[in-house]
Amino acid sequence: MSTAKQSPIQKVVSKLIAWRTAIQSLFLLVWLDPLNLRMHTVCAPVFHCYACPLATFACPIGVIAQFSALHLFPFIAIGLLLAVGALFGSIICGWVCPFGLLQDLAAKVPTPRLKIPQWMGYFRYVVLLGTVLAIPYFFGEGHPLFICRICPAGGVEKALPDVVSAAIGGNPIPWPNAIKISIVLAFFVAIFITIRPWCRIFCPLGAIFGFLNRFSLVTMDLKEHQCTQCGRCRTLCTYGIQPDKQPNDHRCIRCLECTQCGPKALQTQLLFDDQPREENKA
Amino acid sequence: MSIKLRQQLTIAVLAVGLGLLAWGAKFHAQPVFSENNDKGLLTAESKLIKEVSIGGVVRDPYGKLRMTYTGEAPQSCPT
Repeated sequence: MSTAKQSPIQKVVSKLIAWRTAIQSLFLLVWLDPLNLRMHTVCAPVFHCYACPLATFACPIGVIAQFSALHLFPFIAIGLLLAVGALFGSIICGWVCPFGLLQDLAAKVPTPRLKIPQWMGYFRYVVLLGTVLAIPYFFGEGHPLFICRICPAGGVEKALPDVVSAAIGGNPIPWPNAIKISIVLAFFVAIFITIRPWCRIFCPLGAIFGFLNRFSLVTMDLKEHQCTQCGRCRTLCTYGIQPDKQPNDHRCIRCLECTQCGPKALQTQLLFDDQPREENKA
Repeated sequence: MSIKLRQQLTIAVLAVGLGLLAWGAKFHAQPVFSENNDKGLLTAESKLIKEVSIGGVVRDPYGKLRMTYTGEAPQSCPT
């Protein structure tokens, strides 16, 4: 079996894939504010609640929703997401996001996993348009479906630590409301019975980056002449995508495992690499 | 979608993103009124980002952005 000549970026990726969890963990040093900088005037391009006492930066989704409620255009948050998305697409989801890391760690627990239907990936756009943009704009921050009120990140990263620290310290426990408790419980159940449920069904940030996958500088390419259609890439993909048909699928989180198929027909490369090719049609 | 079109879209999205980012960081500011009086203070967007993250700004019934506190800032957002 012949293998395709690897692009320079793919050579690096091939070495890094085994270290993905370690790289995600290293990024925690950026997001979890070890130097207590609290730079909340700046958005980070990841899903990490700014209510968390260990958040270095502001959450871009929370900022967009709050600005929408104030009827302001969030130039910085939108600009950041477009720029980062145009450069990296959903590599941010797979390699950088701390909320993705939490779900990836849960995915390492050997429990039976439910398959998520592919069409559910479109629900992320409903969440983005509904709970991040429309509901805040028309009903304000107090609406029960305002994204921050139903987001599990706030529950996991703020409410839960508050409850635990109060319980340990013997202080009165600041119980979150029943909806928040239910969401956090559902989230913890979900991450052990399926893989990355939040990212694949609900994440509005993943919707933006996933949408930009087709236009991002770092892209996936299928070397059709090298593909033996063995289906190995589909086996390697734990998210149920068909990388040989849609290498830049909007649901892909860019774990890049599919690039480890035998013929190396799927490769990460820059969109401006000097190789004539066309996007493979689904 | 042709590779040429994808490249053009990448450049366009990147340019728009960087443009919005630069505009928001450098020029975009809004008048925010203090909790108890009508003296508006032009507030940069980056400062507004920090304020919304703690529920520090609301739009009042008259359509003005108004601080929700005086003195020490709230520790976290109201949600």
